Amino acid sequence: MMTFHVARRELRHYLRSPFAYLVGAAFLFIAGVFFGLILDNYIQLSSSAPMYGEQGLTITQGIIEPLSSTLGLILILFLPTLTMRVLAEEQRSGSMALLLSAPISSTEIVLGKWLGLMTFLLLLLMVGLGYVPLLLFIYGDAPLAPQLSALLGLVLLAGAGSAVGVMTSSLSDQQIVAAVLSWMILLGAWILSFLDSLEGPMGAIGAHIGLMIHYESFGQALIRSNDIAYFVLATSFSLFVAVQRVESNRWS
Amino acid sequence: MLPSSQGPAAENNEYEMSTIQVEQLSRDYGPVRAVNSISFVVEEGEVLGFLGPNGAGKTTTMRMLTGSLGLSGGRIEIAGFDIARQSRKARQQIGYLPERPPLYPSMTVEDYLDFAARLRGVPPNRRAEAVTKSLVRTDLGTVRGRLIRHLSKGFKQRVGIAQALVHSPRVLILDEPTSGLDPAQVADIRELLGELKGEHTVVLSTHILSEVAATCDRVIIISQGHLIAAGTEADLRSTLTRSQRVELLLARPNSATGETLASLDGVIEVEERAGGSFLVTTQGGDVREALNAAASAFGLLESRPHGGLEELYLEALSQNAAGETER
Repeated sequence: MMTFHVARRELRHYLRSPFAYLVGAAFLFIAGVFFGLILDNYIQLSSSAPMYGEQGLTITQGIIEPLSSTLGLILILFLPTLTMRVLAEEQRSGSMALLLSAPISSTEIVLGKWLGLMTFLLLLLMVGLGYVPLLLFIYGDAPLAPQLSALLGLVLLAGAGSAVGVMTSSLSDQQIVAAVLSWMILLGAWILSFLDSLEGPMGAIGAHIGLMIHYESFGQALIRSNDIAYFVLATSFSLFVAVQRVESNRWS
Repeated sequence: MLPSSQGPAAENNEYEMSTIQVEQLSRDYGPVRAVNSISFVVEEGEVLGFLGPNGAGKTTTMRMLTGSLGLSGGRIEIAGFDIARQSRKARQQIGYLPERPPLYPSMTVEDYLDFAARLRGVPPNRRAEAVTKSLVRTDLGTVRGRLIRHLSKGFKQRVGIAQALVHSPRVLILDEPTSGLDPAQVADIRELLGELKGEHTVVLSTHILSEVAATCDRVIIISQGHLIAAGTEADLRSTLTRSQRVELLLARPNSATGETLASLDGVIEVEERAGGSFLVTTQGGDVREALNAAASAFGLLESRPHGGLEELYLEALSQNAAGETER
């Protein structure tokens, strides 16, 4: 119940914050531009030559897959600007004292923060990307399953990304430090994916830790339990660290 | 009267126990001992003043009282609940105004108080009423819809107090409630504190003496993490002062007056001042009766103790400092 109260305040903060709308609008604008580019590219490819087998390039391969990975990258680029304030601001402004002295546990504080953030992100994705399936349904007979799979991937990525954001925000009372840390972790994990093509242990690191490796399959309409486990683990680990950090406030 | 460690028994005896019990409380920051084995109790409805210079350990102690800072040693019981072991229950009894009011600048006053009420576990059907009540008590009705960021410092402070009151807690912990305010605002807050007296058990900290005299029933003086004196203003006066000074205002002083007063038992110094005023320094027991009797021969108009809490406070601090160097 306490978690809900914290989440509710967090969501209301984002819904009333001009900055959150600015970030949201920029995210959606860039996503829209890429959607247009990918769509254009798909139309040209599929009309020029049927080089991808007899049926040509499918919507899943030609639109959903590239759109999904582009959206993923854009999301982790924007996410830290939204998450950086989550705990750092409370530390700096002194409002953390309100939470710490209230009958509420550190776990409830962190979970509430994360849930509020997630609700805002889900709203943003619903409102901002709703046109994608709509257009694909009207102008092509796009299958639903790959789109749902891609959406699941995006939601899992948002969950893990915002959990990392909550964690880094708990580590510093300076928002910019929190943001930079988030970028380093998220982009670092994304870039590690490119090691995948290498042989030996480096390749194994890329395959296991690489963020893109685990995220991509959702865009290919593949829902694999190890990918889901990856995101669930990353989310819970980050939130766990954040809880420990908030709890340590009681000791310093 | 040590509180028993058995939970149920302790709860049954709630009314015989003090609202706040602090035993041997200590707090270390790394190698530095910020609070050193402090013990005190606060009775139901009492206003306790926590007095000490900046950095004495007041804020640390108050944070520990509210459960927002862990203890290095000792124990705290709030309304019978151990702050470490029954933390949530203990914290439900508390309203806390930290040194910096814990505000969310982007919220309106009313939304903020609603959030505070939710956090403090006020049930949904009583929330609106609780918010309105605390708005009225702190005289914030006119700004209820304003964003906190647009409020003046005095108003922000009052929002901080409203937040601490919103769930009608049994215990109020106020850390420097009047610091940084202008005199009119200080008077406002003091008036509010006066109204809270009796309804809540209050612990407030300050480094301003007049505040203690104006609002507190009892005082604790701490310095460098040690409790150096405790009691009512009168208690402090009798335990701390080795010498007392009384100012006498006489209608018909003459050349023999000074000598007569100085010859009394216990009087060690008489200083004649302008306008029939004599400053008499005494030592030992209470010599006011003898002093007044002698002075009445010269037309005693007025007799009042010279020097207030300020002198006691400084004396306490210097005695403590002297003790430190002797050790």
